[in-house]
Amino acid sequence: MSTTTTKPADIESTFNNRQILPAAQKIASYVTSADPGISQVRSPVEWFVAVCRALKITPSTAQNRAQITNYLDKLGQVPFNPPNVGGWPFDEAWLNIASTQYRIGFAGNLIAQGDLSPIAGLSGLTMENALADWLGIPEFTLRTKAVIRSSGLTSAQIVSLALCSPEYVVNG
Amino acid sequence: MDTVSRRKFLQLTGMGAAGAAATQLSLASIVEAAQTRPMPTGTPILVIVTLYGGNDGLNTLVPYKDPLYYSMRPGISLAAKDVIPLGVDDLALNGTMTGFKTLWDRGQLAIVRGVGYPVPDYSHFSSMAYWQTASPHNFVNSGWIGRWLDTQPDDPFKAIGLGSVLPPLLAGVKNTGSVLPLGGLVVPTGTMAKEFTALGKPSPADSPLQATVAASFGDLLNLSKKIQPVLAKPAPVPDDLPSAIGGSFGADTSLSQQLDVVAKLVAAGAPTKVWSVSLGGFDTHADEVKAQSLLIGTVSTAITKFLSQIHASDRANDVTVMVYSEFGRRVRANGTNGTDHGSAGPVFVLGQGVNGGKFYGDEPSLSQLGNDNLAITTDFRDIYGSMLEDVLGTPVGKVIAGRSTKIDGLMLKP
Repeated sequence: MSTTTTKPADIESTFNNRQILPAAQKIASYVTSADPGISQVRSPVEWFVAVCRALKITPSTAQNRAQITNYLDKLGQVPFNPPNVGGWPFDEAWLNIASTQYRIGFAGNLIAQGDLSPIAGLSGLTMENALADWLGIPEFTLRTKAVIRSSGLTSAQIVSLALCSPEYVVNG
Repeated sequence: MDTVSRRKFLQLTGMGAAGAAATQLSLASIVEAAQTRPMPTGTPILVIVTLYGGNDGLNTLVPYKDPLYYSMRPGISLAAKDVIPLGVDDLALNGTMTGFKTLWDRGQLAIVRGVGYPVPDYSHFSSMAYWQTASPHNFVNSGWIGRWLDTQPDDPFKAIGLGSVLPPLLAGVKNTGSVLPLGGLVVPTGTMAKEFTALGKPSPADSPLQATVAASFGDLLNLSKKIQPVLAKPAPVPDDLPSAIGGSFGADTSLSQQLDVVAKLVAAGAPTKVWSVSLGGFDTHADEVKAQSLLIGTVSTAITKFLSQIHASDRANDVTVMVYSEFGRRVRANGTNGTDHGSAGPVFVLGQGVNGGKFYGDEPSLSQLGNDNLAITTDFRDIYGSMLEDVLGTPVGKVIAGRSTKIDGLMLKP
């Protein structure tokens, strides 16, 4: 598929006419939407929902729901309870030592009740590619690849590192 | 959302924390800083307490002898037996504020009356932005303490907010405050500590935000080694708790937890001149009396305990506490035994350096309302003027453009 750096002029009209497939193609061809320089931090709720999808956890039937709420509270984003009527902050506001420690703890809590089968029994490059596909990460950095391929890690530890990695916490 | 519209949103939400990305880097050595370059005793420290939601001033500082108070507030007024008279101007504190009464009697509590910004806005969001930026009706994307930080040599420990998110008041144009989470730090150990440290190495492929995430791992693991021993120490033992209020000190609120951490770090010599703590829940649109009394009582108890802890350290003369909320509430009750967003309210200033036991500013009259609201008799920026000039030692005009006034006599040693 060819790409363009200028926004296709007819994106809006295509979308407005409900031509979903052509609209999606035009959006995909517009390289700015895949520009690594434009990135966004997953807010605590976005990160939590993404992790639940990956681990096949249904929040309403999850174990330790009080703990889940507690983690979201510690991370600063409980659904329907914004800090003020201006809503929640974003990007850098979610990135600090406090949020990092709670994200690690939260990941462990969810992994303990999640489905890790997509990387079960895999190792090396196969595992690394399966992990990236599974979590929707275009490509891990060399740094993160080295970490997740360290010897002796369990699947739970690998997933924990991946879910807290800069590549996952920040949407490229 | 593209970069431009994100920035616009940032401006709209008042979260334009210009240097916020630096926040997580700054904490890595807070306790090390307390140990290696402790702040000399005698250095003034300002503790800012933000009450989110709009505290009802009339049920905090109660005109309990004014018949208008009772006739205008049926159902939500406090009876004379439920308040603590201060003995001046027929005003009384909410009956839950026994701690503040003790401090008032010792001359360590000053109450500034009728405080607000010109032309009430009624929006939590706008009003809190006005207070935190010190720029009413005129948007700027930096907070007042942030701009004070801009006048100082860059030192990320100089102003710290308790919690996970930087309050806008600490965001300056070039410098910014830091945040400190509650409850200490829980960090990975063993293999995972090693792996998370490796995950914190910078990668050339990282976007700026991804680099921020990576850096936070190293900071977390570093900080935890240094900060845990200090946070694990018991707080200074308060030696002067009056027995009458000693019993209620068990209340473990988020505010008292925050202040407990501040007390420990102040006593440890942290090189921090401004601390920011907060309590929410003051937006009492319904069934106000019980909820507001409970909350303001918590504020009184937590701050009284905090000042007792500080009193037991060698920094008793150094600490000044300022307590504010974004607006007061309407004089008349709404239909659900609560009150809606209003205008003026009292601001509390506490500490041994305060010329306390007295009022500053005029009490807004209940017989002369403007648009059904209490009159604003004191501009909040005058209190900031006193905090900046008489506590932090910086001319107010350097922080709040065009301002030169303060509340004269509020502090004992200007």
